[in-house]
Amino acid sequence: MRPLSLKWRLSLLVILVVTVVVGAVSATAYLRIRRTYLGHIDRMLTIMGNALATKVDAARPPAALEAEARLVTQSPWRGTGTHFRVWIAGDAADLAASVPPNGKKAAFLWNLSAARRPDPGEAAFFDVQDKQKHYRLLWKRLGTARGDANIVIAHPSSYEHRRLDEVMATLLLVGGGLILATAVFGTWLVRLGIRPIRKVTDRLSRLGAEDLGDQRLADLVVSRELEPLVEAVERLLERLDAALEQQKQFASDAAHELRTPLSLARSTLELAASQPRQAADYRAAVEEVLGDLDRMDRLIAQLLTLARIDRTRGVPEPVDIRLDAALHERVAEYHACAAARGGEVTAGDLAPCVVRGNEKMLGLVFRNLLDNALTYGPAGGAVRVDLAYGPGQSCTATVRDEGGRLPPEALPHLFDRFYRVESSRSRRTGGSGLGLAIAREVVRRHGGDIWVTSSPGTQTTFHVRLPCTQDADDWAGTAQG
Amino acid sequence: MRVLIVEDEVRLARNIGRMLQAEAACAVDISTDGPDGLHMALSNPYDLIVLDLMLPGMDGLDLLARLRDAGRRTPVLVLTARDTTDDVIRGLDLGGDDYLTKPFKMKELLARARALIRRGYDRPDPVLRAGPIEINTATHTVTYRGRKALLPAMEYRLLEYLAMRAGEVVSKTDIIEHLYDFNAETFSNVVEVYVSALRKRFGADTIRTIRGQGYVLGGEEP
Repeated sequence: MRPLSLKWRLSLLVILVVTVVVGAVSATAYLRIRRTYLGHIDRMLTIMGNALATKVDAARPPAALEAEARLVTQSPWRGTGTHFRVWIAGDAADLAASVPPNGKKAAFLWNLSAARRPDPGEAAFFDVQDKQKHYRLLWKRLGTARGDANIVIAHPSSYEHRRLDEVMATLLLVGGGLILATAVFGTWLVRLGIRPIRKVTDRLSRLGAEDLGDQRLADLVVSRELEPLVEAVERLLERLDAALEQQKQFASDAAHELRTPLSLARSTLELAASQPRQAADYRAAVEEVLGDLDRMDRLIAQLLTLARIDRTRGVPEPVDIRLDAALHERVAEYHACAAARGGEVTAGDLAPCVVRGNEKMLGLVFRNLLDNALTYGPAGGAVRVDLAYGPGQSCTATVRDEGGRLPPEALPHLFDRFYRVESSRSRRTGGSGLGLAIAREVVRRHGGDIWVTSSPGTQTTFHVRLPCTQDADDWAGTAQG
Repeated sequence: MRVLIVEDEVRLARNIGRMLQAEAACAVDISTDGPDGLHMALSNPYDLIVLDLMLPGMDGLDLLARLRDAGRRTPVLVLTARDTTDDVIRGLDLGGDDYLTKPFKMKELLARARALIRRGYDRPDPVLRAGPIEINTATHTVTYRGRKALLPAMEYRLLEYLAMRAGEVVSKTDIIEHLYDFNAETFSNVVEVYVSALRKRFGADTIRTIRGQGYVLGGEEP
């Protein structure tokens, strides 16, 4: 189920808190008022009970005790409504019992619940009700020479109960009204309180892609609590803007790279067609244009590769790969290619490493590096591939050529898309400017790292670090077993 | 007319150059990087510079700005593979006179090049007139007293250049600098050779010699 809206949750919380507080205050007030009202009666009953207790002890005849009791329970200010009953536990007859003027005994004095009986020597107060009339009742027990004596005195408390009912009604009315008011105003206040959120929401929902660039939220004034939210959104917009800008730049670069061979081909054909020419001239033009088409073809293939890699998440279909064996294959693959240029590709020390990854993607990395070494390295130079353990739980492959052509300031940008050390030179050699970018993307996906070191004039080395799934000892064990 | 092409794509530069030589009767110099291009642009009196924006060594826009800083008013045709409005605006604001996005049609490049060259000499009309001689710079045809005259390339170049500056005294150095590219071997008397060839064709008084100063085509007798 969807959680309640913030507005309703806040409103309900406020109502709950107000209800609890009003309830607690009302209950406390009621109990205090009740104690004040009934305390008067209780004090009077205590005085009467104590007076009566002194009479019970003496060995008086019942009739005399009754007269004494009647005297004692006469309240100077509450009239004669007081009932009493005194008896010794176990005796059949009472020692004394009040008989009201109408002669009817108060039946409740004879139907007392045993559960309310106090311990010997103690006294207890409680309320009883008899025919719509309320009584406050004192039950006192005391030991006498003749046995365990019980004194019960009941005084009417209907007046107090009526007052207390009125107090209760007032409290309920005030409390209920307060809760109702809280419900109405609280909800309204909460809505007022969350209005800035709505303001921000409205503003954000109106944002479009075209607003990404220029800090559209800078003028949005919000309460301090919402500032982090707005700032977070602003930062998100900035990141999106940067990513979008990067995409635009990439598209623009890609278009530029495609247009260059296209304009070459076009100019060549137009020049050839502008005047009648020798067959050899036409053949030269056709060959040049075919070269341009090759270049476009390569670039499109690389763009597609990059797009495919960008589209997938992580490493698809990972398997355990013997990296040394894979590198041997690559070296063999490029042997003829290097020989054609008068150079050579050799495998150096290849440690038996196992990496987990996508075979095709990793193959692409080393193809691109070898392409790169053969294309930009010195003509006829040697390219050497090595593989070693370390650092840590990883292995590092190196592709080294004998060219020291890279200026230091180019090193950090070498893996950027379409970056070229020197554009005219690279263009003539037909590189797309994407090979190393693809290599970096693939290596990063595999949790590895790619970097280049160059010592001017002597050699350039590309390093590829990939995490190993097994270390050397494990693999040696597996190989033997 | 002499044109400088600053374009790092050597084949494209060569193609444009050959096209300009063949179709616009221009002497063409090619530079393939920024600093060299700027140096050439500053040290020779070009009638047009065709400038690519993506250059090794120095950005094309940078080159343009420095050229204008140095007070050169040479018309510049900007070539770019980037066609966003921002790029175009930047190129024009920095002193470019026109731009073309790659890939472009050669015919269009030629037409724009001719128009820019004419504008450099304040000649909006493609047909130049000097007395009985009419030179159509778009088609490279010359008519003399209503009849078509076929001219060898160098004679046409000389005639066109003198016609562009008709009525002005044009020095021999000016002529050599505007008719020959950097690599051409020139002899001290080439100008005299072509001037006399033109006089033979159109009459001795077509081109007057101002002793010690140079030549004048058309204009009033002193």
